[in-house]
Amino acid sequence: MNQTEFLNTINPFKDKVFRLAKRLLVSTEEAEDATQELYFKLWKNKEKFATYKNVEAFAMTMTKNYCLDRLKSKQADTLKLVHSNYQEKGVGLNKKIELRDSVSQVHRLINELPEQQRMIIQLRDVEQYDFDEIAKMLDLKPATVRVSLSRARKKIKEQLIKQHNYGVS
Amino acid sequence: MELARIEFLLEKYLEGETSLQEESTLKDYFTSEEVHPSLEQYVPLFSYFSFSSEETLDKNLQLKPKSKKTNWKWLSIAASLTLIISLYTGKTIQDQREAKIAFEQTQAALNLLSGNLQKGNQAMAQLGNFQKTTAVIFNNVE
Repeated sequence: MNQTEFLNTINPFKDKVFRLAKRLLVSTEEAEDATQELYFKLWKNKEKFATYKNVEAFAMTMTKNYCLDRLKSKQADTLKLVHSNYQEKGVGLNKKIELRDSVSQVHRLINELPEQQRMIIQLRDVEQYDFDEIAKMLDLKPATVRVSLSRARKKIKEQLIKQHNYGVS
Repeated sequence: MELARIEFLLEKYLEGETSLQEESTLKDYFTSEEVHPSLEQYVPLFSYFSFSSEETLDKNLQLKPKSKKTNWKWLSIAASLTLIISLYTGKTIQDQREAKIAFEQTQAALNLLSGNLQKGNQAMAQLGNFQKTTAVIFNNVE
């Protein structure tokens, strides 16, 4: 497989990879780095492409695994920061500014969900994959995906109604 | 679109029972201009979804990491070349120096030899004189 063929295989879903990475890692730079890392890994394994049934699903799974690893090592770092209490005030202020815009409020609500629900919302409501594909990507049962999705949607809905009522009264 | 149908789809949506097609119906409805006031709170959610799906990656990506291996390879080649060249030139200079020393030593030895030969010559010259004198004496005696 040459470079052009490789890029033709990857390009259709590279933005989806980037968006999933961003959903998990939040920062754009980190999501770009994650996508770059995925490119390296896929290029290294390009000879095996023929044996993959679905390169896109494979790439999404790799992205998920990479990002969750990154989060795990990041968590160890932020724990130290929480102890020193430096970050708290700054984050609080940013959040207050974000609250003004209801769309970025949705962004915040989704990013506050547990990682698995966040990924499922991203893959279903943003990228519109079907349940079987999501189940394959995340290594879950389709029924689990459905339940998790329902929970996430309900949680967001409750928060939105709460917010809406504040706005009205 | 009738309100009852949207409410029914929303209920299904929250249970995770909607199909992709039904979900895009919901998305279309909530991003349109005519959302019923009782459902307004869902507008940011669905507009967020369609807005999010348009985000793209702006960065140019590389296929291969900038390898440190090649750097090491070229560095080692350069290092061994330098070593070979300096060894060669060092050897040449050393050879020249040795040749010069050998030349000087030979020259000194030859000088010494020629000096001594000179002394021998002078002695021989004196011996010649001595012989002449003895010859004269003997001739006179006879």
